[in-house]
Amino acid sequence: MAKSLLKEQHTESLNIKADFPLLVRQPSLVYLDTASTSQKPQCVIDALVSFYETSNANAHRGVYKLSNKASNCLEDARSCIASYLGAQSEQEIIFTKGTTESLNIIAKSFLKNRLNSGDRILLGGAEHHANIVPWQVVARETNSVIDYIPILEDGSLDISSIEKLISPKTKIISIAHTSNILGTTNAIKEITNIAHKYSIPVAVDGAQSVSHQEIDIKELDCDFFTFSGHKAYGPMGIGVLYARSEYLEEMSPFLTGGGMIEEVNLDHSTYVSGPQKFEAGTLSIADAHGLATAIQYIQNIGLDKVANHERSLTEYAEQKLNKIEGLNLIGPLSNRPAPIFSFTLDGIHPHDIATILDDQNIAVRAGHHCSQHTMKRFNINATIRASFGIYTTYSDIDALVDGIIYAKKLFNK
Amino acid sequence: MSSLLELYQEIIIEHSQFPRRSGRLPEPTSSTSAKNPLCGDLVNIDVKIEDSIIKDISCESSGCAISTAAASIMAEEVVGKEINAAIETCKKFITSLKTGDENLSDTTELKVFCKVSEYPTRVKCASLSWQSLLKVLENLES
Ligand SMILES: Cc1ncc(COP(=O)(O)O)c(C=O)c1O
Repeated sequence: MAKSLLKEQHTESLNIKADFPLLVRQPSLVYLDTASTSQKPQCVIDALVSFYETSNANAHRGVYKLSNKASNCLEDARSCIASYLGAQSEQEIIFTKGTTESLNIIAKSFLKNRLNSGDRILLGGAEHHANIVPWQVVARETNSVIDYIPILEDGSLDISSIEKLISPKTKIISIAHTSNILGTTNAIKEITNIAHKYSIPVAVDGAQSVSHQEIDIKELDCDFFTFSGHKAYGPMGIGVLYARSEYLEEMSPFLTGGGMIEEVNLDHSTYVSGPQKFEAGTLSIADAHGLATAIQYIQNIGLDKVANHERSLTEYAEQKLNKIEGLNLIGPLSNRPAPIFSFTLDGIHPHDIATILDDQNIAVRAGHHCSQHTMKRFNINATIRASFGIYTTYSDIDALVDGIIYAKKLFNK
Repeated sequence: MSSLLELYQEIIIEHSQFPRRSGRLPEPTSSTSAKNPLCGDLVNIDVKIEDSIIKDISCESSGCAISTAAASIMAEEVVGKEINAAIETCKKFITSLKTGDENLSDTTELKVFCKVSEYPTRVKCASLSWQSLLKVLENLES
């Protein structure tokens, strides 16, 4: 009774599906793959169209009014993101293609310059490949070593081991804010407290936390923060790298070319300072504008409301999934911090489940989710993953549960 | 019947739960293994060939129902066949997975897999063991 009341309140207070044209046009689609990419609200799609219809010009390149308009559009987006993340200044916000590019920039333009043979890099034990491979590349190039913070059975990070794992040779800690597999959220503040005692910079992969909870970089006290627009109701192809200003100034350029130079001579060039140093070439201003629109969209709904809605969905899903016999949740069994559920089913391979669910128009992901070592940690090859967003409803979760039960029947389980 | 139910016919479920000729051979004349990194499907195939005949074959697979059943059915299908005939069967089967052409397959077991063509992401699962066996046999022939 209490639950159904709660259900109604939420679907009423957040009748969000109506804002998402793809979900409106495909009412039978149960989209449970927001952790891969979110659907886009109408206002974001409109923002893209409107930019091209009213403001399209290259930024910072022309003296004419239209070019100024485009430049303002880009810089407004930068300010919007800076204020959303709680950065000190918009000069700390670099536009990138996404989390992957942002992490590559930290590895190659910041850390590599600081690494000497025998130095160490400390990573979380359940990172996305995007937060492993760039570090492996610079480690190989500099003869450095990567250490991993162990993951406990409930999916949480063994924070108590950090102090033992770091040494004067540790040059960075890079860690996901929220795991794309385990649905856990790491205690970044605790990690930065420890790291900063030893003057170690901390990079945070925020791909799965932005747009699900309030982000305050000052509070997290991290030195770098990365995320992708497309997982946060924004367009594909745009993302963000926040870099603390002192580190940003220290970093060498990533891509080079137009837009990031101060003066070009035939034998050498000097670079501008600030985020533009990392934004060579023409940026996608339309997508930056779209991302700012997405952020304003969730701010207008209210991040506390978003978080409450997703928490109720998560609790509901937890209860329902835990009741299915033979279903094994990876990570916490209860009080899961983030709306991401990875699980296996006894005797049925995740890909078979995903195909059977797809036949009922339920979109989930199956596989290793770009984190093969996390699969190994839990002695599995693959999982099914269902992840939620602001438009997810209780009936989406009911459909998932019914779909799983149907699959079990098909397999005589 | 929906095409999904056709895909997951009893034959596939049954073979995936009780795969035939499963495990490793003690003295294979050739062995191979193949992986589908997307799914994590893994198959080890051992064959014993005498006088150009597949005298024995065994598949050890871990993966989805479709890949496990495909390996099990393949083993039953090719055992006792002459190499060239087996190559022909492999080629026809792999084509039928892509085109959905039932006429390419002789047995009910093989025809079941034609439905996989409607699920492009799963074609790799069904073809994994067959592609690997085909490579082994073609190498023996050349
Ligand atoms: C935790 C995490 N980090 C990084 C990424 C990579 O993001 P992108 O592909 O947008 O660069 C993802 C995407 O799945 C992710 O979940």
